Amino acid sequence: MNSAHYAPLWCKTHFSFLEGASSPEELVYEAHGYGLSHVAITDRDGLYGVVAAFTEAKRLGLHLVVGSELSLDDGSHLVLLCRTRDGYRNLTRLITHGRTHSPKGTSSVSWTDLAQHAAGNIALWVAGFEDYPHNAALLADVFKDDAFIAVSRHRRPEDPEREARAREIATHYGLSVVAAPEVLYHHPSRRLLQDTLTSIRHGVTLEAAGTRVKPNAEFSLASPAAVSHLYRDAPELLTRSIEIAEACTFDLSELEYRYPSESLPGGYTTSARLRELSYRGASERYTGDIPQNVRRQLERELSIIDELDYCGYFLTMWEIVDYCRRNGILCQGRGSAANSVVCYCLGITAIDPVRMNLLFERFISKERAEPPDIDLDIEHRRREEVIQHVYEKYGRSHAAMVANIIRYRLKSAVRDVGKALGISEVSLDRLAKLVSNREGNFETALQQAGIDEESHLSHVFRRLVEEIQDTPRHLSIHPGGFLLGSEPVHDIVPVENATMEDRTVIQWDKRDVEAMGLFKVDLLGLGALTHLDYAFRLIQKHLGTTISMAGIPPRDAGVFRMISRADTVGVFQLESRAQMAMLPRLQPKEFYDIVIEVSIVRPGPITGGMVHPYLRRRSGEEAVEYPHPKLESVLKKTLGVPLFQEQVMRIAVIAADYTPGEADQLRRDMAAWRKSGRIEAHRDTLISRMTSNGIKEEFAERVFDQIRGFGEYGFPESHAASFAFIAYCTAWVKHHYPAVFACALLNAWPMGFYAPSTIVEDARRHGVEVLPVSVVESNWECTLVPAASSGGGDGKRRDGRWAVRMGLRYVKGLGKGEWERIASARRKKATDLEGFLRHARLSEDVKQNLSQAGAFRGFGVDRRSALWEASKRGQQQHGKRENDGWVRLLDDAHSRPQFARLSDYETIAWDYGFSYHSTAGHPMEPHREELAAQGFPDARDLGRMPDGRIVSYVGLVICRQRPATASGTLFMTLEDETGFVNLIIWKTVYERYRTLLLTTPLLGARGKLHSQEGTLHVMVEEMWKPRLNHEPTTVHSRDFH
Amino acid sequence: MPRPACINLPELPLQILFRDKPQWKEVPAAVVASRRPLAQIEALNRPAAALGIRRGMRYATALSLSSQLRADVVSNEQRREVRTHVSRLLSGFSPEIEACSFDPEIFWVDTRGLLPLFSTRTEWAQQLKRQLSLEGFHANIAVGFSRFGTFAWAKRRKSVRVFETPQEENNATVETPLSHLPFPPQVLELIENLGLHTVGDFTALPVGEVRKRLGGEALEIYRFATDTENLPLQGAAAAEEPTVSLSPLAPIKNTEMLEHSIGQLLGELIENVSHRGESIRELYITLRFEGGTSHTERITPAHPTRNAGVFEKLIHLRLEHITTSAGVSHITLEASRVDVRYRQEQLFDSGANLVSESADKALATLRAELGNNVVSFAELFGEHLPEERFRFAPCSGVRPPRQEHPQEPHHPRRLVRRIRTEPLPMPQPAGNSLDGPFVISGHWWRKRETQRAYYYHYLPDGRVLWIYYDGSGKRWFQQGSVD
Repeated sequence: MNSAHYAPLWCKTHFSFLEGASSPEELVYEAHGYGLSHVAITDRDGLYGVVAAFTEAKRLGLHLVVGSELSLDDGSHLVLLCRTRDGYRNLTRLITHGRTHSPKGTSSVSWTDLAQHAAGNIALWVAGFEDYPHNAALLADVFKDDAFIAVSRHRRPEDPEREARAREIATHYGLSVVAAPEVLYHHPSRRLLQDTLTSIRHGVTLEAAGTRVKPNAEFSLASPAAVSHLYRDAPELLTRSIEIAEACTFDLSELEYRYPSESLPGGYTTSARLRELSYRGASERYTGDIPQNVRRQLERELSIIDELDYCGYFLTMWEIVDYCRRNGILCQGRGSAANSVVCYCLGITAIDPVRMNLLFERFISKERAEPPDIDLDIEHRRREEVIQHVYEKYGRSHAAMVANIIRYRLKSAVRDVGKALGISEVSLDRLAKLVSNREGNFETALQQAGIDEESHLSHVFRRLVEEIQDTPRHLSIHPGGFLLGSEPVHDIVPVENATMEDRTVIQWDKRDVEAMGLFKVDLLGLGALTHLDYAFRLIQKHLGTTISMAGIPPRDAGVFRMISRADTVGVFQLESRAQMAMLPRLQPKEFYDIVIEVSIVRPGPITGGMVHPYLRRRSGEEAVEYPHPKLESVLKKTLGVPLFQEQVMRIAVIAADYTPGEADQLRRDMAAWRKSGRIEAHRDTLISRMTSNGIKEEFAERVFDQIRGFGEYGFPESHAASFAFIAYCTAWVKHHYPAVFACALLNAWPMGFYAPSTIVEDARRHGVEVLPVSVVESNWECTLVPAASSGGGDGKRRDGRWAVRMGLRYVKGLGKGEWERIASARRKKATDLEGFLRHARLSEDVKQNLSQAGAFRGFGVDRRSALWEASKRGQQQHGKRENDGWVRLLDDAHSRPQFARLSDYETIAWDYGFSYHSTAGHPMEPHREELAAQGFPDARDLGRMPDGRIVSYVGLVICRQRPATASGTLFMTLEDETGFVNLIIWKTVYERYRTLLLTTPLLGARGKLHSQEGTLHVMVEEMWKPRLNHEPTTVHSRDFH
Repeated sequence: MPRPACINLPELPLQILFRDKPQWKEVPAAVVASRRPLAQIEALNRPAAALGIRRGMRYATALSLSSQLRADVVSNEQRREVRTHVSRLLSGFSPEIEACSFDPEIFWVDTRGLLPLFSTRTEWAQQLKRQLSLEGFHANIAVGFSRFGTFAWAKRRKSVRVFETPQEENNATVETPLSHLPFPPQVLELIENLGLHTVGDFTALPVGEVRKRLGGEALEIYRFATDTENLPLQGAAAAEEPTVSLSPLAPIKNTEMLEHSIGQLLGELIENVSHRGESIRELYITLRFEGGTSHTERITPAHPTRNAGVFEKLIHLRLEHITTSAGVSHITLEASRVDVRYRQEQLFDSGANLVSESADKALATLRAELGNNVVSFAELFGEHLPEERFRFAPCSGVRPPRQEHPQEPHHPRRLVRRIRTEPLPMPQPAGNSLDGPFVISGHWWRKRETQRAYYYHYLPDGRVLWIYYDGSGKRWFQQGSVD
């Protein structure tokens, strides 16, 4: 017999979660390396790995048999292999049935279910035949000649006995036997990982795993020679495996996917309907006068869309946006296809790509016929409404959400592998934190966690932590990706229940969906849109002005001036510490500058060393040069420096002679997780081809570094443009309507970068009057109320007559239910606190929190007296003590003690403690006199000092960051009542003051002031804990996110 | 007039930790509630506090501040032992000792009548402090006129203080911060938020309002702080295992006499146990021989009982095999008890059956006659290595046999491998007599990995052995035989 004549029919990849230890690609590649012609991928109760295996098999010219190992409710396991498209459909339906009728994460089908979905499939009974042999009759009856019992030889002591039993049952019921060893990894070296995954799955240590782990390393994909030797006494079993594989002619490319077609009015075709809607929209956008260049672009785009038959997809996006519009839900599209004139005219986006010069070359690639890419951002509070609308419109069987595979990362790897190895929880917790904080290398972290790095345990631990990374851990749900189909989705891919109610999820992730050419609709939640929506509603309600994103004037100089001085607390994408540090240097003057700003403060350009060259060229310190004349067209907009993902791909095509196919592969590899290492495969090709085209090696290296950086954090220009537009809109609201901006942001919170206290302080610095919480005056949300004095700030505010009244949602521990009782009590018009509390029936904690937050001031009661009143407990609790004579004698319930008034420190501390903010002042304010006496300036004074001066400063920590790109440097933001001060703490200084830096909320810092181009940093040399007469109130710090 | 003294052993868990691990005193060290990341820090020393570690912080958080932190658990057992030890030590300084019911670090003793021995109360307190220090304990001591007054001072100050007048004590007491009193954390927070910080502030509140607004525990503290009755100190009752002993006039060399003496003691012990409403689960008989050596026997009846006859029978079976030339000079009987309700509840157990009870009695008899480990059974484990699949363990009672799965009509006869408890080394067998290999490998996480290749070894006489080659040690072993 030809030694290559066997087909592995029972192979589980790492998509058999916490069981298989090799990827589909590894198994297929290994099979090909052994010279095999066929390989079956049969993951446990799923088809998670088949797309990756199919792609690899197609690349290598190997026949992939699609199948799955099914769990039956009697404990049996059967492998079903798809002979035909019908068989595949039956399999996906059967898995869907098993998954959706079992608890989340499990699956089980009955023999009856199996019988109903048998057609077109071959069945291998792999486990359970010893216990329930009579089911063999059913198997034979349903599958006829396509029913087999698997003979799996793994050199286990019990194998001969088990095989004898299998043969006996097969003979008795007229079934055949076939060689089908269980394959759990592609190479024996993965046995350690497989054992570890098994321990993790069962939640036991390896030492306690016993027979739950396999007895030996014989579960690897074996060479034909080894298998022939193993089955030397029964070669016919191997021949049969080949026959079965050859009978399975189904190929995943047979899946015919059709996008659901809209039911169109008046006999329209999708193409005609899209054309009509696009021109109708264009007419509205350009008030009846559509410019010629827009008309030309529209025609070009409609022609490509029609040619690729994507009209239905664009109509779906239009329908969803239309639904949002009709229901007052703010949304905006982004993605390469979104920044098209068609999307602008359909109302999917608000940016005019022609006027903004944002027409992208990669609108849709006609050559590759790739699915169009539009992500729809929806205000995050109302996204679920839109998701349920999609389910309703297309039907639950025709719509399901795309999966997100949760894979092991370093931290989870440390925890799970360590637990399996029996390492103490305390050491693992410590180690996981050290590695996630990126403090030193793994060896140092091991030492610090008390694990002997030279021990045998430590060696296997390190090896497994490395190996397990990128292995799937469990299935999750994509944040917003939908798969829609004209036929039921479960006929294409199995569907499961998601953890969240009313959601279903397919077994493929976005890469699989893309690889199969299926259309995905992305509906993503975005807090900034909620913020804008709230702001627009407030403006409409209080100022009578209707504003929409599209209607915001695009070239407002005042807005750009505000952005340039980094006055951007709460401005979408421009509010982070790093963005604020960059803005004064970049000095945005037009919309495209914001697009650059959004993209440049990203790990891709930073690690690629692109930031400084760009800034120097922009300021005229450095000439704009192109590494090759051919690249001028690609890099002109960014002054010769590649900043966007599209530019990197274009460079690959133009300068490194990548074919469109290679460039597309590059894009996919960039998006793949870093451990796949696939991006490294491009290094030599890119650099050598670029240098041979006359490009300097240094530039080529830099481009490659940036590609690697983009791998995780890349920003395509189209996305940046969409985000930049939202950023500009939020900045515009902040500039003209600071009270509205703050009120809306506080209502949309939690979102963005800053704590409510910082938002309130920022509003106050902009002249906005912020009024405290009050059970008499406040609503649940923050509201706008007439200000005590009109025209705050610089007098140019459009909402100067309005102040912000803080909402009761900001009182600690107060829920919606309590708010409703407060509102109800308010309607009963209680005139004193006692009466109000009687009506409201609030819990002890809530009453006390309201007292301490000062929310009862409307009754003319100070906070301590209110607290005393609120602390009165229900009679029931003390009923049994009513007869306590000692107490009764001394009971003088009508006396009300006098309490000391709150100091300024206490007032602010209580505000922060019970409502997370203070309208009475910044926690630093009461200390200012004392700090000034000690010679410490505030943030505003510091801003006026000359560059290079050695300064000392004291402030409250509101942010700590140690980015991976900063080589151990810690960035901190300190705040006082006048503004922010950024600190840069080099690694050596950080290590010297580590404890202080990580634990102390109020810090003193001394160092050199770095004040250039409007940015202000202190390069810290010394730190201390300031001595103040009173302990300052602490604020929430955003740390290491 | 009563003159109580309060002894405070501040941070007692930490003091216990440092008694066991004195080398930790100078480095950051803490007591944790358990060895889990989320366990709380219960107590810590100054070096640890200097690193920003605080009481109540999670162990994992503390470690993130300093990987040098040493931490361990101080068990309840250790704490109990130390309190008993301190109690005994205090009994050398006063006959009246009261352990505080709500604060394990506090003891009160009565100092009345001690002046003839110690000249002054200050001298008494200093000597007590020195004695405690010699035992490794640091203590604050206050001698005064009331429990609360002395408590407040001893909690607050690290020194010895003797109040000469009640007024002097009272003046010091009203200034005591409320944080030293055992308020529940939430109540203390509420009181401090009201701007009340000292005992004086607190006791000025109207008592009826204290009950209504601050709850029962605050009221108890209020009473404690304002108590004028000053009830006498209450000593605590010991809760040790009941023990009876006997020193015969002459050493006993005769077994019958020994059994008789033990029988007398047993009656006394059973009476003691009965008064507590308990039964005896295990009986320990300790015999001290002439010459000082001793020997202990454990007698376990089938079920906890107070039936003297059951024990007498079992004791007889056990003692009839003991021979010694030395006479028994002292006998101690100690009972390991169990609440009698345990047995009463079993009366309602529908599963109780007389057969298994009789079998249990028979096993108890066997144990008594032949030794505690004589009855054992094979406990099964899901392991791959044959010798790890079972372990012989002492058998405490009879278990019903496991229900076997009903046999399928076509089920073949199983291979039966008879496994040795310990594999037996053997020479390399002839290659043509082997069928295999069957592989068991693993335990790669241990220092020594398992690598075994198993074979059926066919002997010329027709017997089949189950043997393996150990790839790690490169030797052959016989694991067992095959039927």
